[in-house]
Amino acid sequence: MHIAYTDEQQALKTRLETYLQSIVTEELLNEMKDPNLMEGGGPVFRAAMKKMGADGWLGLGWPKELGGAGIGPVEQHIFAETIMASGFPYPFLTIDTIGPMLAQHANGFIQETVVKEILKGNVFISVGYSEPNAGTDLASLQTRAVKDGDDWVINGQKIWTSLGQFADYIWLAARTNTDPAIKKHKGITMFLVPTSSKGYSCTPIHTLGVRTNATYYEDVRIPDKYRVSEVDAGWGLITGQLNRERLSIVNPGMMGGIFEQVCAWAAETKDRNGELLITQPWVKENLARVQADLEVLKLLCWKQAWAMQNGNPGMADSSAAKVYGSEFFVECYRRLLEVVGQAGTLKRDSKGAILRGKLEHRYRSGSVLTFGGGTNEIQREIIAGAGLWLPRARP
Amino acid sequence: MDFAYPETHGDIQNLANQIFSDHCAPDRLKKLEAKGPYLDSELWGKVVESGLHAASLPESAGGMGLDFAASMMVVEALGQAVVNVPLVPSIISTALPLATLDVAEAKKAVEQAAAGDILTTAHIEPGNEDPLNPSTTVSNGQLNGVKHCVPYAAEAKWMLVSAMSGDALWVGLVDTHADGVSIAAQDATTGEPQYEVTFSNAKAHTLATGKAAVALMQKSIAMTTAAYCNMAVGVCTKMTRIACDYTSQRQQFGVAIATFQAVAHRLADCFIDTECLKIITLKATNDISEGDDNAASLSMAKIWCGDALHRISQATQHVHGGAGIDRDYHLWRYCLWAKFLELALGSSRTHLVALADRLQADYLAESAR
Repeated sequence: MHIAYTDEQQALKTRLETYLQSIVTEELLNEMKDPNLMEGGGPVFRAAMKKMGADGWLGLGWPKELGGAGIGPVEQHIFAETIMASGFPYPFLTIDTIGPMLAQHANGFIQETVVKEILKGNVFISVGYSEPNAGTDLASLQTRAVKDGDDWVINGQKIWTSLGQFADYIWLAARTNTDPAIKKHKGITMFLVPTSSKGYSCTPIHTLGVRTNATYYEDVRIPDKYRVSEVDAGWGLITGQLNRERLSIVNPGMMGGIFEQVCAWAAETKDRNGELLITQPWVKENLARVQADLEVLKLLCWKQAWAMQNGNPGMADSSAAKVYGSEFFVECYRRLLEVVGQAGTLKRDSKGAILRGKLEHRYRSGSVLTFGGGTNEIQREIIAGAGLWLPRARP
Repeated sequence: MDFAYPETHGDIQNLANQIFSDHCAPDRLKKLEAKGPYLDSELWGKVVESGLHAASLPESAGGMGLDFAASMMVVEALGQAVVNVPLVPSIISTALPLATLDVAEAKKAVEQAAAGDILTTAHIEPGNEDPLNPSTTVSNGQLNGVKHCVPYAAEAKWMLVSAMSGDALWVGLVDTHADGVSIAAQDATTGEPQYEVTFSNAKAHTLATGKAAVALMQKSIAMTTAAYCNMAVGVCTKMTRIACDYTSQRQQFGVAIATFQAVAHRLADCFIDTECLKIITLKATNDISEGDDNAASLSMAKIWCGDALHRISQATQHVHGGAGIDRDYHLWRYCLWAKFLELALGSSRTHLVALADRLQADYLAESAR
């Protein structure tokens, strides 16, 4: 037992932190001012991803036979935690969730044209699960894929297709079997839909925090080689990807970075009496509470990453980390904004903005996390069943 | 980074769970409790016979010579049973810190503890719960003052005590039968024997003065705090389990009440709280085992300890309805221990303030650099 980084892991983190200073440049931060490029997608972002790919940072923890560096899931987690703390708009859905699923399950064609390009930092993928009438009850999705010769023809609509504005592919769940006699999650197949396909379109949805999208599929015709799962057997890939997504969206890196910045800010900012803010009892207690809760999140995520290396993280443990982490984020932004005060609502480029308005932006985007990646009520259901063995209520 | 225990620790955990669970049947405990606070000598005898109590004591003193984490497996198992044996006061608070000293009296006491004799530590005083700033004084080897809530003081051979010697902290060992030591029973809700101990020119063996005394008492506090957190993991796990079993059986409106989401989700929250407490407690335990700086991780663990115990105790009682508070049922014992473990050696709030002071000092030092 050793509940801390090894010397090698610490060295990796330090090396990465230094490296990232050349990635998170003023030029990148300026590009990210555009609401459409806030989460990546601009030329500076793409160049940075290519550079990281070329320097071997992407797929650090992916197995060697899948084209990664094969160091391990703990190191992959360290990478994700550190890059998120740096402020880089890390495309974790592609690198940490869909990428590894494709590397494990996809055919030779996709391995060559997609997986290798992900590792080079060239390809980005969005998730196409939710539909206007299929959210938490995902298995009731209606987007249809119908076999036509060697092709599939796809018709339907997806919603909340985040990062769809610059995605190269959509990781799409479509109904391929409408037989009322089979269970609805057994009639779903996974595809990769190139966003260059005829009949595909994407329109923005502007939310409280970030831009997301609705995507439309009108007679989109794709060859069978873009099918990722066996026909009607996509559900396992969906849950596999979601398990990874749940860990990614509660990655403590993003919070760790902003927490340290607020602490440092409170240690150099004085109130009107000339006292440093951090010396005020309520300020430092707010910060200490965040510190204690953040430490727990870090440890839960470490343990998940370690468990991936040593078999499989339990379903209830992943769900517990997701519920805890997402509810902690919401609470944490509140506590940190209390410290900063009303000026915390000033936007990034406003006169008087504090810490480049990061907190106000993060709290606006943070409320997504309690329902994104599987709403917390469903996670609690999973815990009740898989963690506590309680009898199930729903049919 | 490695979250796996060595095999020995797993064996210790299994054996400890077996011994404790064999002795915590509600009927048996009810008999023991009938006459007020009790020491379960029969069970303690079996624990001593198994050697589990001395898992982390040095082999030279008759222990197993394993790391600190090994004894915490036994403490967690005790938390699942809540039977009154002096494992924490005698071994964790007292013998383990004493075992780090090269002093004849300390060595002798540790050997006696390994053989099953009881030691204890007087951590707190009426109106003063800071063992590093006691009101009790010592001069010329004679103690004066009052300690209270001292577990097993009347049953113990030796008592570890802190006092002020002028401006310096002093820590020593007191023979509980010595002249000038008077022991009066208190009545604690846990049913653990606790006593008020008054020293009137009582003779004491000096173990350390000044910095060494602070270090020794800090060890006792840190190890005891970690033990309370580990015991809390056992208590939280068990309270949640009891509530799950009950709500899976209890029928209302024709169905098990656990099938109502409002009930199941409350229990899922207990699961999450327990996982959080478990992982931060593991970190604090590991920091002590490896000799790392443990002040921050221990404070964080104790903050979580108090919060998780409070929430889980209330939630598990609540989902039972009246059955949960009935003394013929077994949940109540865990709830009373939950409150003790929440408050002992500093509540969540106390530790939050300590963590906050530390954070302030760290960031001010950083910004001065």
